[in-house]
Amino acid sequence: MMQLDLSDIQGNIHRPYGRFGFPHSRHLFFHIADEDAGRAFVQGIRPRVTTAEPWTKSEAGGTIVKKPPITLNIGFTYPGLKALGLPTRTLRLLPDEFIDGMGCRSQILGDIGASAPQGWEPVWRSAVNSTVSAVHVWVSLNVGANPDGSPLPILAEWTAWLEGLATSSKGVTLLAGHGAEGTDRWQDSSAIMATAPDGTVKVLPLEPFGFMDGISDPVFRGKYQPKAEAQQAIGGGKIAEGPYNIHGSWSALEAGEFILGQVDEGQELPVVTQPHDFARNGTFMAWRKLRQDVPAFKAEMQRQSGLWAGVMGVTDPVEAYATISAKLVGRWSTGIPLLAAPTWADHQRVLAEWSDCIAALERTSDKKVTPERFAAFYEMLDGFRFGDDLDGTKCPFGAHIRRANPRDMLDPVLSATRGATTLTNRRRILRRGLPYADPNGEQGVVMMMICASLFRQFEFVQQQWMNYGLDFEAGNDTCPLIGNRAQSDKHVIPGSPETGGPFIAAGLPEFVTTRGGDYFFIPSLNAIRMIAMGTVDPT
Amino acid sequence: MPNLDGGHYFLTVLAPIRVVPLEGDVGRSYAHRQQLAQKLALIATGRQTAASPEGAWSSPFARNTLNHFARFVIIDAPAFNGRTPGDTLVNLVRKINPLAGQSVDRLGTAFLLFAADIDAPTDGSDPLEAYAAALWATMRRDLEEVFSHCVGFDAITSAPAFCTYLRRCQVETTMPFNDYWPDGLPVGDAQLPLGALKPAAIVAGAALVLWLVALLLNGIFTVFGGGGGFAHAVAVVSGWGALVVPLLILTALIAAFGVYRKVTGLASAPLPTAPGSDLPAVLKSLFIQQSFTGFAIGAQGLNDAALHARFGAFLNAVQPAEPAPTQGPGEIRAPRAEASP
Repeated sequence: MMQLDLSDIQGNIHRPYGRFGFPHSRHLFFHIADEDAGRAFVQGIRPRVTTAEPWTKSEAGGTIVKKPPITLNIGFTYPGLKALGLPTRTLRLLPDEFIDGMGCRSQILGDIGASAPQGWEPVWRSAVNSTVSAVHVWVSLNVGANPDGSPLPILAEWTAWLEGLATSSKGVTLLAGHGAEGTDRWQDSSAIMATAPDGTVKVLPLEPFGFMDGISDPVFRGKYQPKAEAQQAIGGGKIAEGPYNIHGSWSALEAGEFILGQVDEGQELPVVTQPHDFARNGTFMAWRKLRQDVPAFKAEMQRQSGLWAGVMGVTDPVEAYATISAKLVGRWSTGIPLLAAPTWADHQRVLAEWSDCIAALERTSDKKVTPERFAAFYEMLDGFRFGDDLDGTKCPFGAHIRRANPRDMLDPVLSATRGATTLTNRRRILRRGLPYADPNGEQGVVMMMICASLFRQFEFVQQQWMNYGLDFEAGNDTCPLIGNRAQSDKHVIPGSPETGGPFIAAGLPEFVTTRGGDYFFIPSLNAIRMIAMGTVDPT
Repeated sequence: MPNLDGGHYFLTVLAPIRVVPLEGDVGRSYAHRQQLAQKLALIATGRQTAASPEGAWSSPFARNTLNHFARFVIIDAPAFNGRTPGDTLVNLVRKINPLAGQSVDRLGTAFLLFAADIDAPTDGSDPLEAYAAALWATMRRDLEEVFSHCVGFDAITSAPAFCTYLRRCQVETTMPFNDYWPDGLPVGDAQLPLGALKPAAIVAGAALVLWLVALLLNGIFTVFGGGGGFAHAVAVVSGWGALVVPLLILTALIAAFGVYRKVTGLASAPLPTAPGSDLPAVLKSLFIQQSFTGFAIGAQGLNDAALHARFGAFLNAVQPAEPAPTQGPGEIRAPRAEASP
């Protein structure tokens, strides 16, 4: 059995906190002007860092620690590590893209036009303006909600404590420069909530466009107990080659794809820098504030649904709107994948078929659902493969979910018996984050992409799969949901004599733009200690 | 002849770069290698990516329509692959000192590699002559500037002389890459014409088996006696077989060598030209492909009559059977065929 040292690994790697009862998060960014002050600041934070230790029995590990009322995690940019006085050898052996930082990588990431760093929120402008103090340290807090939906008071307490820590260290500054005015001192993000007629507030697992989010999260070895791992790996793991069997073909990914110092899918220990101990059990994270133009999305879906209705002979405008949106994303807004429900009628049928599970999840019913029934529900929700849709008539080749996680469809061709190969298995990403809604009405998500190599995983997916289409036989077409439109603004929805079509959704505007962000190293607890003590020694 | 394959000519030229420096005027001189590198850096590339600036100069190679790919590379030295390895015990016996240095391959001078993938003339005339003439007519000044840094180019002042120069420096392309038969060459059920070889081989094999049996029986009769007249017949066959069978084996070996030569001969014959694989056809198909995407988007949801009219307008604008309009060489995108609908 493979056992990770969970008390050495930061908790944000393992957990999407929003799904663990922490619907509010706050992101604070600091600049270190003085090495000693920086170390004292890190030392002050160190005891409060949340680890990946299990809170419930279904998670990995034998012992269970008490779930905290608030979580804290910390990360460092390359300039941050330099400001903390790390040795030259440790610094120069770090990956190029991490040294560059996200602003320098804008051409690769497709952060051009409206997403270009020149237009980012002020706190992120150091890449394009040398007079701006660079972001050095990221600290995030996640808390639960009061019955009225507001964050627990401990969030304000810990925020004040962090501010005090920075002030007292004399040489560390909390960087303002977020939000519409560019003056906010931090970036908040919160789950979307709905207030019931009786005044109770319910957290919804939605992103601002209205789709259920965060369904598929990569499952890696050591994340769950062996017994739970086999079930969790269905949909979240990798698919073996050969005749497909949902209960035999899936297995967990190697931990080294997400945690440094562990064996990865290349059957190697990922090498990052010296000393080995500094990187071990750490990882990298791309922090991105992504604006979602909700009115533009809704207007465009309205326009496309009219065209779709005409071409496909659909009379119900609700059906046309839901279907064209699903064909862009690859899932219905309910999260049901097109592979499980290719048509509107199928979607209605699947919703009815699983109404007991959905009601239990939404807490609209007290009826008990057995664990076996829930397992089968999640298999329907995520345990699909594209070998069951060879011509793309269920889920279009260019749809968002195919691009984000191609499962068994590449390397090099889609077939009924090929599994997910190294090409895909080495490009999986843990996605963390919650929606934000700034006071000026701007909406979006604070996204955190976590992986062992930002270059191989995050940047590749962003450049080759989101902002290009060749691997999906889609030419220059970009992701219809989050892609930039510099070279192409269309999305092809394949058809067949049975389904009708094809349909080309053309003239799509840019729905998602980057508002800022950077690359962070998420050190292990051990490495945080080394940073704080100034004992990072590469010799 | 792998230089020519699938109707494409794969040119590989290695020209030695001059060593004696160019004389300078203010206390310094100029190495040909450095001047050549500067010139190569200044030759415009094709507008190959979406990031290529609008209206920038295009590659001089885009002035002809023969050139699929062209590349200049300066080769300073062969890659060093490390020491020639040896078996430790053998080296010990042969008294080879593993600490003694080995000679490292070096080039006497840097070389300019010029590699190009071009269309061969369909009339069977010499591809290199046609290509040299096309380049000389369209980019003579660039060629003179580039190759004047190479040995032996001084007296080259005409297209035929340029062709001769290329031929002098040419090395055989041993591994051309041509992907214009994406689904493989249609060969039908063509089989190797073995003709009379098959029955002849059966006869030879039967004779060999007969002789071996006779030898065995002959041995048995000799040792144990008996057999009478049959033993005599067996002895005769064994004796004649010793004479005939080696001859048969020799004949079979000669025939097998002949077949082998025929197979390798067939294998080294160039593939025929793939349909639509010359540069103008490739550019035209790219042009039609891009235009058709626009047509398909605009034609969605039209009724039959409108679709018919719309498709007529598309054909009229694109002229699929005509050379023009088309996408220019050295361009990544086709010009818009029709005004926006």
